[in-house]
This record gives sequence, structure tokens and C-alpha cells, in this order.
Amino acid sequence: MKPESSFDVSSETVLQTSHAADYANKLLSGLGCAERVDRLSDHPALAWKRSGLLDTTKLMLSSPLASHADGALMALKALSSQAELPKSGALLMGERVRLRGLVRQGRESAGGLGRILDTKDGRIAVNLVREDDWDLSPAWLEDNAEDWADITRIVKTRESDDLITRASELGLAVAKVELPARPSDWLTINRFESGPTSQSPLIVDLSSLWAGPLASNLLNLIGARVIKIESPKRPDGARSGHEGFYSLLNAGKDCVALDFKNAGDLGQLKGLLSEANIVIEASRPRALQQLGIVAEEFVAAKPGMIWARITAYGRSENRIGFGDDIGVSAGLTSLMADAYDEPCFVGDAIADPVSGLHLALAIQALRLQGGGAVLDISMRDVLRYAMGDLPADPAKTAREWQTIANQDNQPLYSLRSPVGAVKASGADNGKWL
Amino acid sequence: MSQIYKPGTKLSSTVCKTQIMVLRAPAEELTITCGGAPMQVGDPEELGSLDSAQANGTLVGKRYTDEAESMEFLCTRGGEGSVSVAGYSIDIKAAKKLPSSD
Repeated sequence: MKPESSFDVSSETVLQTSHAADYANKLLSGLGCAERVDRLSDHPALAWKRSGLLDTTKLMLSSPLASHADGALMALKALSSQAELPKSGALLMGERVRLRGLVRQGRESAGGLGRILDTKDGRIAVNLVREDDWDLSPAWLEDNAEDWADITRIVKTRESDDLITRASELGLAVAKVELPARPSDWLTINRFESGPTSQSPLIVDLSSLWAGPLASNLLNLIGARVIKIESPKRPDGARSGHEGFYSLLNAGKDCVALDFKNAGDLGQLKGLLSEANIVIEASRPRALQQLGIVAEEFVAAKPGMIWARITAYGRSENRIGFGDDIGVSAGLTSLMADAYDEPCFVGDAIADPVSGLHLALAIQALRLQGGGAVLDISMRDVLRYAMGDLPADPAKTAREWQTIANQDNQPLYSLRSPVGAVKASGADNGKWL
Repeated sequence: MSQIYKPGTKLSSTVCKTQIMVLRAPAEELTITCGGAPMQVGDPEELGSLDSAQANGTLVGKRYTDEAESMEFLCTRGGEGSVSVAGYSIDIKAAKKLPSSD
């Protein structure tokens, strides 16, 4: 990494750095790609600010994460015709919260459904995003817990690890505030036979919310056809969230609805999966197992197929997570506590956009190599990897970077516009079934 | 063997590997069986014999409830027996609705 000559913010050389390009080149070489990028881009402090996440978090992040998101997008551009892709990777992290106009409140997440709470021996993040989650809190805590005041009081008397183990059994999103070591890699690739590379591959996307849909959105922008699969009883929850944000991620995709519990529909799903060049899914391992769908069998049967699986914490851990609590488990909250003595959620469901962006890159890289792979990413590992090596003194770095951001008079990055039509769930059943 | 169950209580089958967690239960005495035999707190040392008429199996991760949803159990370990509660008809509950945002 080229050192920054000084923190004199009047100097143009400081405002543009090689953080993004260095990270892009590391990703490219790690994926076995010969392409390299060589250009400067916004300093991490500016990328953080102009993404909108400085306003959301209200604190400077002392990790070059925003520049690394820029780097991941730079790498994707190096592997594709660049024209249709977004201008900045950091932009993608702030899209939703800017559209919704939210900021975090103290220890609450920007979306308002998560809290950081003190336990007997540390801190945890509790993210009760589904209405049903509240019904589970009595079983989780073995006590009456009807509101945040109850949960806060009870959690204070319990140990973090016990709370997390029980929550994970119940499928509640609870994460420890900790700072794990940076993993040496951010994905696992299990290789199968390669095949011909299609110019417009067919993606069957079983995922919902943000990470998976963002990956298929980016690949759609560079030529892939996407079929978004939903259950009629359980459509993508993001459809009932911010409409403009849903459109950004899902415009241009065909939509097929199939009831996985119906044998005929399940057969049609398996048919579509076997036609796909690329499958993206973010379900718990047992969900597809229980339907008799085994990724390795599909990929073995079709040379060149890529099957990408997203989990919160890895396939060996039967544990769910959402972007905000995964962000906590990756260390962002500890980093803020170190720098400002203020444990807080960082960004908005931050593990989602970072993971989606990296996944799109991994799929594109594999595709150009002829594919033939089952690809696994853990959102926590991707995010922790993308946070990079951390500064020795987070408080000092945060102060210096805040000074840079304070003197920035540029607007936030321009928001994207949806490309293509937004379709209702099942709108294309007639076309594909 | 009937008793009142509190949310969070874990029960093991005595005839198969099934384990469930009580998520919600009415404040009344219940008789909970799996594979035809009463369930208990903690795993048994030896498994008894499974009633073949009570062997539809349980699936890990699935939630089981009665028609009125007055009680609900989460299967934390699957097995061969069927869970039943005397006087109630228990079946798999649909998956949780996805959140609109996280």
C-alpha cells in the first residue's frame, strides 16, 4: 500500500489513495485472475462519508472498509464491460439507508429493530427483525420478556455465550460484540468440471432481502439473465420494504413463484435449477436438504455450473444472521467501542451489501474460468476480510480521518436508478414453467 | 406424567433422537409423548421401543403447533417418532415470514 504522505487535507494526493486498487488486486489474484487495476480512488474517510454511512453511523470508521467496497467493484469492472456497473462500491452500502432517511439512535440499529445490550460478561447485539421473533423471547430467556426493557434487564444477568447458543437454536439473530482475527480468505470453492462460458448466463436466484439479490443485480447489469424464485406464501420480504430500494436490486429480473411444499412445484424448481448456469441461495443448509436438493449433484451433472451459497457464519454453524448483527460479530462494534468508547451498530445491514458485492465478483471470476464450482461465503468472514488489517490506534485513525471528512465539501455519491422493469412475484411463471 | 411446561424447557424422546424446546404452552397440565412414550427432561440412558403407529418423524428446525396455536414446540433434534400432546392435534407450522428489512 502506498503510504499517505501526510494528513494535510489541502493536499490532493491525500484525498485519493490506492486502498481500493490494492484491495482489488488482492481479490483478483486470490481468485486466480490475471487482470489488475491501477488507479487512485477516494480516501477511505471520504468514501465512508460520501456513501452516506458517516451520517447514518454518526462516527468515522477507522477501517478502510468503504474503499475496499470500491476495490471489490473495481475488480468486478476489470472482469466485465464496465459501462453498466455502479460508479462506486461504497455507494452500494449506503443506498438503502439514504432512501429511507434513517440514522442509528444510540445503541439501536438504523432500522430500529436491533439493540446492543450488556450481558453479565460482555455485550451482545439482539436483532428481532421478524414479528415472530418476539414470540420466541420467552423460550430464549426462559422468562417473560415482552419488550426491550424486559430483555435488557434479563440479558444483564446472563452470560453472552449461553444467550447466543440458545438464540441460535431458536433461530434468533443474536451476536457477540467481539473483534475476531481477520480470516486468511473470504470464500471456499469446491471445484467441479468446467464447461463453456455463456455470454448471457442464466441465474436462478433463490435468495431474498439484500446480499443475494445485490449479487444477481450486479451480474444482471453485466449481461446475466436472472430468474428470481419466491414461494407464493413467503415472498421476498423486501417487497414490503422501501419500494425504491427493492426496485434498485430487483428491476430487470424475471419472477417465478413456486410452492416448495407442492410436489409438482418442487419438480419444476428442480427443473429450473438444472437449467441454470448459476444458482444463488442463502438458505440454511438443512432447508434445501429437506427438499432433497443437493448442490453438488446439480453441479456434477452440468459442467460449468456455479452454485453459490451464502450463510451468516458458515455452513457448519446452523446459525442465522442479518446484516446488522453480522456486522457486530465481524468486529465493527468493537472497533467503535475502542475508538469512541461507544458501542454501536455501524452502517445499515452492512454485511449484506459487502457480501453481495464480493459474491458477484467471485461468481464472475469463476464464470470466466469456465465455472464448475460450489462456492460458499460466510457473511461474517467476507465482512471481516473486507475490513482489512486494523489500525494500531483506532481512536487516532478515527480522529485523523474525521478531520479529512470534515473538510470535504463534495456531495454524497449519486444514487443509482433502477434498470429494467420490476415484476410481481410469479409474473413470469408462464414464460419459464 | 402430565405437568405444566414453561417456555424454554427442552424435552427428549425416550424412544428416538427427537429433542424439542417448548416455545409456548397453555397454563395447564399436558402429557407430551414422542413415538408413543412420554418425553422427559434430559436424554435417556437407553432408548425404549418406538410405537410404529407414532413414527412419522420430526424434522430439526421445524416448529410444531396445534390448530388453535395454543402451544408451540421447536424441534431442536430430529428423530423417528411423532410428537403428540394428549387431547391436541399437533402439526408442522409454516416458516416464519421474512422481514421487510434487516
